[in-house]
Amino acid sequence: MRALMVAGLALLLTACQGNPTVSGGAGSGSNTAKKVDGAYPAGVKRYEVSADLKKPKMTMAQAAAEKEAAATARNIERNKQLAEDSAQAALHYTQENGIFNWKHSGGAFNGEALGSREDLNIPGGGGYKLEVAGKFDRWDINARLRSIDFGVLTDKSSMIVAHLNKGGDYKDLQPSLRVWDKALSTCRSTLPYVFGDLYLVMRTTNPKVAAMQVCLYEESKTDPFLAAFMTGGEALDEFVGNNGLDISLN
Amino acid sequence: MNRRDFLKMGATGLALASLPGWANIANPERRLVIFFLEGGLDGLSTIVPKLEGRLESFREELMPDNLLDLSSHWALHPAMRATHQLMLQQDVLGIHATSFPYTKRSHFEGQNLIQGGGLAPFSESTGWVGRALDIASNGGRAMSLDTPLLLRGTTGVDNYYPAHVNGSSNPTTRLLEMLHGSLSPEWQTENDKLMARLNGRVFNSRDRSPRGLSEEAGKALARPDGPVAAMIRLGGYDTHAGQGGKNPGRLFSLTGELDTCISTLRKNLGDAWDNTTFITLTEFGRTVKVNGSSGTEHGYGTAMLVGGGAVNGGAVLADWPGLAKSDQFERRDLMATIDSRSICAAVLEHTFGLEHAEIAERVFFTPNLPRLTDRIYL
Amino acid sequence: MKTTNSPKSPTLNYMMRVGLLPRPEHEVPSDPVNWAIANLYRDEPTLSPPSDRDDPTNLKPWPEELDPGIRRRLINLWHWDESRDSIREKLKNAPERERQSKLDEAQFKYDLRWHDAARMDARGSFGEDSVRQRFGHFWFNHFTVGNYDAFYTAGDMYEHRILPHMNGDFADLLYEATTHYSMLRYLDNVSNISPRSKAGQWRRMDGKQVGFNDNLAREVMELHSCSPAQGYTETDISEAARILAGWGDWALNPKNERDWLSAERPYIRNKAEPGTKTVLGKTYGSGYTALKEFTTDLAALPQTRKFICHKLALHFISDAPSKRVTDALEFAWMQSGGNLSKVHEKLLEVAWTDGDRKLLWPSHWLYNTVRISGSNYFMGHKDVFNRKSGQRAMRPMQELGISFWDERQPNGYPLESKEWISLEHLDRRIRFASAVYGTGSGQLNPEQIMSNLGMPAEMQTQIRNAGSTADQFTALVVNQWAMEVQA
Repeated sequence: MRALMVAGLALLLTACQGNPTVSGGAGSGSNTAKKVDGAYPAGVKRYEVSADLKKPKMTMAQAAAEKEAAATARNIERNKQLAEDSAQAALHYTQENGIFNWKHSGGAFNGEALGSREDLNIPGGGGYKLEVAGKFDRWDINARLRSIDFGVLTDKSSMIVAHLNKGGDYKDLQPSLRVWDKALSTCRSTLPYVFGDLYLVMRTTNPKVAAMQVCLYEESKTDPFLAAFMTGGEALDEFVGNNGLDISLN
Repeated sequence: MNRRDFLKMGATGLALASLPGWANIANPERRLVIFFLEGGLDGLSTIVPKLEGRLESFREELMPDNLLDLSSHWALHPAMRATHQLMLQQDVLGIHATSFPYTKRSHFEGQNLIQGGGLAPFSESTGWVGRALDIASNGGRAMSLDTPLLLRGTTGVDNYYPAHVNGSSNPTTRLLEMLHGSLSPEWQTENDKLMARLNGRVFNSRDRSPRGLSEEAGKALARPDGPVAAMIRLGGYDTHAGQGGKNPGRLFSLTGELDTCISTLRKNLGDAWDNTTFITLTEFGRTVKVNGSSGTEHGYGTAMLVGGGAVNGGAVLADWPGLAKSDQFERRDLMATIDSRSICAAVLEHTFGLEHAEIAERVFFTPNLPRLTDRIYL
Repeated sequence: MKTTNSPKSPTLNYMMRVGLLPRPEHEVPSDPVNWAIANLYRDEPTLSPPSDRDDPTNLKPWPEELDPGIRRRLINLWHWDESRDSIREKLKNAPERERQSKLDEAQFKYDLRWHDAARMDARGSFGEDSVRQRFGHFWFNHFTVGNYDAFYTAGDMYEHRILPHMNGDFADLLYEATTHYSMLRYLDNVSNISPRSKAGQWRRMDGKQVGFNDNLAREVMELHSCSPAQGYTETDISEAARILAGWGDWALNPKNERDWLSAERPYIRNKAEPGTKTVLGKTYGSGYTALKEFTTDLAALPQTRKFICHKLALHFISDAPSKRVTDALEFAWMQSGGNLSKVHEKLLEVAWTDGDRKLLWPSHWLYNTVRISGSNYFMGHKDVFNRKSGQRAMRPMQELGISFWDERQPNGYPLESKEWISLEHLDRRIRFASAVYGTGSGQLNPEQIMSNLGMPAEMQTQIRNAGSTADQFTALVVNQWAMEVQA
């Protein structure tokens, strides 16, 4: 390392190297005499983690598969219990292995990523964000994609959060925002991480969230901008997800 | 005093060592990561010997609450939650009362010795990882001095620390090609590396926190043709004051940072975690007794973490020396009863497929270095 | 591709080795060695443009109120500690952002570190005392003070301890550096409190642990004077720590000022260790005078002479200083009884005849880049108007990895060339070249610079072929000619 060695020091030290600093203590195995009240026996011992705390050792693949399987099973089970919500979600989502996927397609999105993915560092959870800037039809948007793990194994939602440019066409969007506000209160949205911007849940394991998103769509589809955003959400999601925007080490 | 902050390997910094394309190594998918904890880690607060009755009397002020239990004998520092889980999942092994054979308590000598791996500080111009890599890949390559001592001995070592310069633009390969001829030969080598980096589009991240560097390290090592060894430097372990105990102090942030680095590394390695070993290294431990400023002075024995998919984790390995005044090294420090070089040798044996005898002889110049490989790997 | 090892005029090469390159308006000396020796003592005010947007020839003195002396700074530090506590208390339920902005505001009022950092860069860009600066940097690095707490007063240490004393006896410089607040704070001597002292007993009654802290004692010997070659023991270190106990406190509460010997000599008797102490076989009495005796004795050790002379040669002359060079320096030291002006003058002579190839520190390279292009690049004192802008002012040197206001270990920045060569350093040089070209106002164009410096024709052609003027500028300063001193 760069600063470890002032050469002057080095020279002076080499002068006294006849006297190496290796101590007899380490590794000599000689230190086996006194032990504190027998709690720690002499000799190199392997103190296992208590049996009640220990978990099975797994490869990364095994661990991932186990986590996935447990999550899927729990999702499917819960979705059955929340049959009413699942039924409403089915209007605009397809369900596979307990995951609801938004199925609209139509709007196109053109734009570019601003920077690279950033971890959200949610305590006890996970997720990342990525900003993109571009156009839906005639509207400029900056969209923040957030893929959020809500901390519980089974509750995972991926949503697009669209932050509206306050300049330019912003005035024109006032009617849309009024519709959006009304929809939010009608559908009793309580989603976290939204900061008052538009959002669209692309994927979720939670039928309640899916049902609410369906409600939001139904309540706001009369507005041309909101309809473009929601029906084009998939294009935006694909743009972000499939265009290699994630930094790659290859 | 604590961290230094500089570019080449900043207060935090990342260095990666690659093998040349023609190198023929036994298990080319295996990887090694070294977390270099600068300043001297207080092992007694990191892996706490719970049954050690004397600990409280020497350092009540430094005893953390809410320890993370491992067994009746041991517990982990409360800031190391992810590492704790990994220990329970048998992926991480603690080693206690261990040290390199260096007893003089100078940071500079100590850091030099644990990187050089020779018999005395400043005796080696190459590092133990570098020498092992050289032997593993049939050696004979030029030594590069512009790298952390630990990795010296191999070519293809790269330091990494993202730039934040206002009003500047990224260098282009055209510009680099043009500059090449007017640089001195030492700089031409770096110019080649910079060009390779631009062409490879690696390291686009601007995050230079320890976590960010661990992420980069994980991603780079996960590539099949990626580097085989990485060193990540974390500073600030020289906790002379405000180390913390019941109330979180500096050690809490430091071990928390290390914990984040370990979990980030694992996450970004993905399946490569199964083939990776990480270890922590520090120049020395700290005094058993608390000093006048709620901290500890330079000491001797410390604790070490060894982890990864192949590691036989889920335990603490120790020949516990006891903490009675007469059991302490020079009546002030935790005695070291396991030579840390044995752990390093085991890691080299596993990762680079070398014989223990050869490592003992040619890397650490200590033919009778005890072999602990079977106690560390499955 | 072949390397072009383009020759530089001996005078410019020498200026780069012991000083800095001239700005267009500066004179190039006809007698370099005598110029350098005179320059070593050139004590001029810091003159620089007040803002980085100003014309680079609009030089104004650095405002006096930004250098108020150690007593004022330490009292300010006490005020800052007080206001920090009260802001935290008052705003404990306020949003983090609001609390932080109040804290920043209060700190900026009492803390001058950002101005100090800007001042060093202003000097580097505009000062005609470049030899003096280079020796100042060497000694400020030798006596590294490198953590956040030390930076409250680090500028004062450079200004009033390093610069005025670096051409005197080494013994005095050692004492001045050791007793400055920044050093006492950085190496934890503020918490080196005798358990037998009054303060120690009060602390014990408060239920706190009390004891010596040997951090400063160790480094004064290992890094600042005799080095481990002296062969001292752990006992010597802990005895030295006993001499040092009592030196330093966290801040100067004006109400308790009588507890201090003075702000310049922050010795607090009721923290000190009574009785005698023995270091390296010599016994010292109690009281504050023991430290001066101790540092004077350290300064007189032959190992100190060897260690310091070697470091000086390493920084200015060669990565592998010859015995001839170090002998010459040591001889000057011995003859003068450790007077650094004699050692420095000898070094300046030797540098003319015996200098090897050396890579410049990145800071000196950046100053040279700014100077030869006639730029105004660094933020001026007017640009530092709050904590945030202050942090911006510090950034260039931090980015180059050589800021005196960055946390680092007490052995300071390395002196050997090879330690500064890396991919990241190359990347930074290129980026800074483009940043100086893009944002530094008032600079000359590459043609003018090349002609001012009398660059070799072959090199001029190469630079012209680089393309845009921005790239030409980069080619002009990122090369062996501009980064290294030649043998």
